Amino acid sequence: MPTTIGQRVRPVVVAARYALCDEHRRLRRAAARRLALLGEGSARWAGTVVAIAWLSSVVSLLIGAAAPSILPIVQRHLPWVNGWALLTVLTGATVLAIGAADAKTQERHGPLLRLLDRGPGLAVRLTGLATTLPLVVTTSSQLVRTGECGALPLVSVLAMGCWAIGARGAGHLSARVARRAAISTVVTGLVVGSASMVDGRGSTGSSSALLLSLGLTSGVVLASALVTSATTAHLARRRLAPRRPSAHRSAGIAVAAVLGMGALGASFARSSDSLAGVADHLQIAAGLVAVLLLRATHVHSTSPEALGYGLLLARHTGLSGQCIARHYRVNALALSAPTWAATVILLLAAGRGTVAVLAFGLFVLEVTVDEVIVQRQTAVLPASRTGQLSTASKSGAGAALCLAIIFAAAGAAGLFPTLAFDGHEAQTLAAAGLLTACAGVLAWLADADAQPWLTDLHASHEGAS
Amino acid sequence: MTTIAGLTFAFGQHLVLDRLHVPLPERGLVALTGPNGIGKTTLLRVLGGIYPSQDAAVAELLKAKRVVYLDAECLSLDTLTVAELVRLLGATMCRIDRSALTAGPLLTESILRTRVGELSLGGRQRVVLAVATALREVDILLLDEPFNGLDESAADAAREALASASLSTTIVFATHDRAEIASAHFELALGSAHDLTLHGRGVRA
Repeated sequence: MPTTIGQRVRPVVVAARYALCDEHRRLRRAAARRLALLGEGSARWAGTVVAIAWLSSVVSLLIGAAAPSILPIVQRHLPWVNGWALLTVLTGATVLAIGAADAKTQERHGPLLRLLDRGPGLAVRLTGLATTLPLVVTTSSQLVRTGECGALPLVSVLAMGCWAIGARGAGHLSARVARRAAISTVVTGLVVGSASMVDGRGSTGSSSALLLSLGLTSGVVLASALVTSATTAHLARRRLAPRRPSAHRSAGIAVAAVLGMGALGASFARSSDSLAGVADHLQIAAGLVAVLLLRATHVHSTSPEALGYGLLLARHTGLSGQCIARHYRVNALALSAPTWAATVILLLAAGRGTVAVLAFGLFVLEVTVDEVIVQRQTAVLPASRTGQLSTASKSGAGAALCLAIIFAAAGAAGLFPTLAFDGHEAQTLAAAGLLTACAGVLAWLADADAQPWLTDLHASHEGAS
Repeated sequence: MTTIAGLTFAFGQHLVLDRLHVPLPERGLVALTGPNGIGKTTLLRVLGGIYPSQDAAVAELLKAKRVVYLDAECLSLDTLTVAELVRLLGATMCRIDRSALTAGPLLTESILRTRVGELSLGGRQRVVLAVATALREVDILLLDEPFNGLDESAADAAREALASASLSTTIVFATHDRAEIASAHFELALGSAHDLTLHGRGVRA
């Protein structure tokens, strides 16, 4: 066992040296491969190119460390940009870059790291972060110089959340789902941070309000992503739903990404003169697109065809049709409820209570329309065609209908005047009530019609096609 | 005898090891056998800590014993030459006999000059086995089909070196080769019903 400091330090230095050497040679090989495309002989410049890249890295590190605070410059030249949000985005991007580089190093050198002693292993691991060093130094320097460390707690909590969720039970499906959802949430947080950055009108000058808004949005999107992942995994575990790990693994990511983009779009729209009227429409449309994506990837558990198949089975086993219809409705609600909840909360957080009620009405309508389709138009696919279910399904028709309503309300890309929600609160509430009533009637119809439809059902290849 | 009780491991929803009882002798060469795809490599990687497991029995084993898993994936710094890699391992691992790394017949001069990424399968296995036989103060050494790709003389030398190392260490290696199974002190058979049985081969450890 090493006893002196020299004996302890030497292995670490040796490990770092060889790991850097390996990194350099890898970069040189990659550069040579790309330069070879320019012609024979170009590949010999690979060593020079990589050396220049390392030198540039060191120079940018020094410049980043010595650079003055960018906040006064930003405020002088780009007054519409929120400097605090800019720092948040910079910090988040740095945390993500470090996380990605470390994950890559661990994936590549995992067995070797377990073999080496702790110190040398850590040295190899840290060497993998060498390329992110200029970014780390620049960000740290900016945070220290501006004295604006308010971004650190938020980003640190998010990063630690990602780390903890991802590390727990690594290799297990649930952990991988949670990890992806958490990572996507951080990305969404960055997107929302970007949105806040340009949304100078409502939040300039109030760091705490912006922090609250950013934290709330990230939290809501995180919750919706995690709950969606958990719900879809639960649906896949049910015997009626075939296992499609890839589908529910990506569900949380899809929801977080689309809702995040929706928040970004709405934020941009609110800060612009010409698009301010469609900001709420954009937010609702993002929720609908997320639901449409979920429906499209979960056709085996929540499509009209799944309901039709369930009813067909019920007919043979003597089960009640209403029971199957209700079971289907619960599945559909469980799948899309987190997305809708997030949309409604985001609207409420933006102070758009009336629009949130309208969004709720659209949500109820979306669920019931999908359910009714199967009973008005036979949608049972025979077993031989279940492989085509993802392309032949009518799943998502309800979401598409709601999307069309929102598209029309937003003025159909300039063809008509936008149906503005501002100043028309009573009408908006009335529309929401009407939509909810429609949904109620459709749900009652679906329940009442299930048994007679079941009796008349004669599914066949011809009938289905 | 060390027994890991009720070992369970799954890739997502695909259960690979289901409440497996893994008996391991205190020392000796143990051949891990079983049909393709039954989970031999997974078992070795779980025991070696390469696949993180929530199983308490594995955590306890890794805490109580010094367990090392070795395969060609350990050679991930593959732009280094074998000589450089040997110097790196010699300098950065306490429990390695530096002189034994290059003393045996496994690492020839030409192999030492070759970059790790350019080695053949046999060459990579030679490096892995050279490291395996130079390890000291290890309680359990896990190897995945270590003799694959080796020529006859290298395989003989490796067998001899491993047999010598197994006097103080438990060496578990996955294999399908009858001769290798016969040369081991124990056979750990992973059955198609996910059961694991340990047979003594009558060779003194």
